[in-house]
Amino acid sequence: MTARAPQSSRLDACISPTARDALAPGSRDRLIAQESLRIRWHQLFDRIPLLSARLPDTTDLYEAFLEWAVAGHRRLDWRMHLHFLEFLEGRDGGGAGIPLRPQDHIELLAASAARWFASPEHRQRGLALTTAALAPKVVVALKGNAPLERGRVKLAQLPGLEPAPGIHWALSGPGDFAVLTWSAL
Amino acid sequence: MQIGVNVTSPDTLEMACELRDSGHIDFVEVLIDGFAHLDPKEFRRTVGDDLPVGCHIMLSRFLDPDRERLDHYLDLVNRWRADCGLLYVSDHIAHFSHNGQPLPLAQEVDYAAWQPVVDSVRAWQEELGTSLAVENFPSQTPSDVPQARAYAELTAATGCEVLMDVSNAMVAQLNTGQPAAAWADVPGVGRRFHLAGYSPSPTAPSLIVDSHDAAVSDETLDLLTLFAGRAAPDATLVVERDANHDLDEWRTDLDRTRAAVVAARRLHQPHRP
Repeated sequence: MTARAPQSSRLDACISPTARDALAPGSRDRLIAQESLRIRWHQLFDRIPLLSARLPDTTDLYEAFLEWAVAGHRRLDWRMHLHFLEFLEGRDGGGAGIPLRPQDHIELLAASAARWFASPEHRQRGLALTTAALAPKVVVALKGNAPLERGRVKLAQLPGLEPAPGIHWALSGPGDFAVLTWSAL
Repeated sequence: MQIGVNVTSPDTLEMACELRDSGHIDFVEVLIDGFAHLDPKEFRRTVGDDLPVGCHIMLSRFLDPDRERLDHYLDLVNRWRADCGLLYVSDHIAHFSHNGQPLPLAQEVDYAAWQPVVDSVRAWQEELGTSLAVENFPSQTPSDVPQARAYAELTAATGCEVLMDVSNAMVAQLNTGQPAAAWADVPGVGRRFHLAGYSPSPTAPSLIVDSHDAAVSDETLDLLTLFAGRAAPDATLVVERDANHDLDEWRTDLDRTRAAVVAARRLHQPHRP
């Protein structure tokens, strides 16, 4: 059996393809890291089927995105799809091999909103997301108000919302979106 | 032994209510992370006054020193305990993030560097003010220090209980060769149990994954009879599903599980209407 890599190297390999490739070929550690990266691939692409179908190749793009995120300390929590949008826009769409359309922005923001439902860090009921390409349209996520009420994600209009560069998000405690304080990604 | 299911979302809560109505479950286990925005009194009203509730925590990440996060979970547990009543509180020992980055899958800790974990469990348990049940991990690779031995040290040092995930022990046995039955002799095993389905990784079949998306294996149920035969009279067992939610399959797993418990002569009479 191959000697185990140090734990820090093994954990690095679960989030970085370069770190995975540094592990011994055929080792159990490398297999575990690859499984971890496979799961994240699904976490990213399963929620954006329309954009994924238009991408000529997801593997190289995915690995480049992960390295970019690790190097830039982008947290791939519920904001993962927002960072993916940031990554694609930073490459001027050219990295993906396709120009990004407003529909792609909506799909990515909706994916982020759906992941936010499962985020334990916020007790707030509502989340609003927008980009310069969408404003004054926003993607809103609203958690249910009762245990059996499902969360909803929809596209809405915020009259008066001026487009600003980048990606922005705002939380709404009661979910009424009456007062929104926008944060840049 | 009381048999229940896990609820993680409105969808699974709806299924749990159906399983309650058909007499298949004696309690529910709430994943408290998924209901943080709700009033626990509403949850109590939804499941009814007579259905006991256990508490499972996924992402307290108590091994990482984050005061704000721990306070958030502490407040959650206290509110749910006060308003809903809790059979138990359970949590995980695993790495959930690395260098500030969430990991796609929880990763196993190093049992050769165990003392910081013991200290963290002790501290978290003291803050929670209750005996904490900590879940065993579905190991993917052998370790020099067997997990069961490490948990025996942990329970002796802290007085915590083991949330004995029977299928996790089977997954670990399949992946590492370390015998699942060794857990039966670990102090702290005997009151809190989980089980679920597992499956081979689609890209690496030698890697068995704790997928919670398939029927409970016969091997898991055979192993359950060993644990159920020694379990405390007030023991609890959760049959988990986290993907491929199919009510009929879940019901079948509950029936098979209850039959295994009956075989171990630890039958809790179900509330059949």
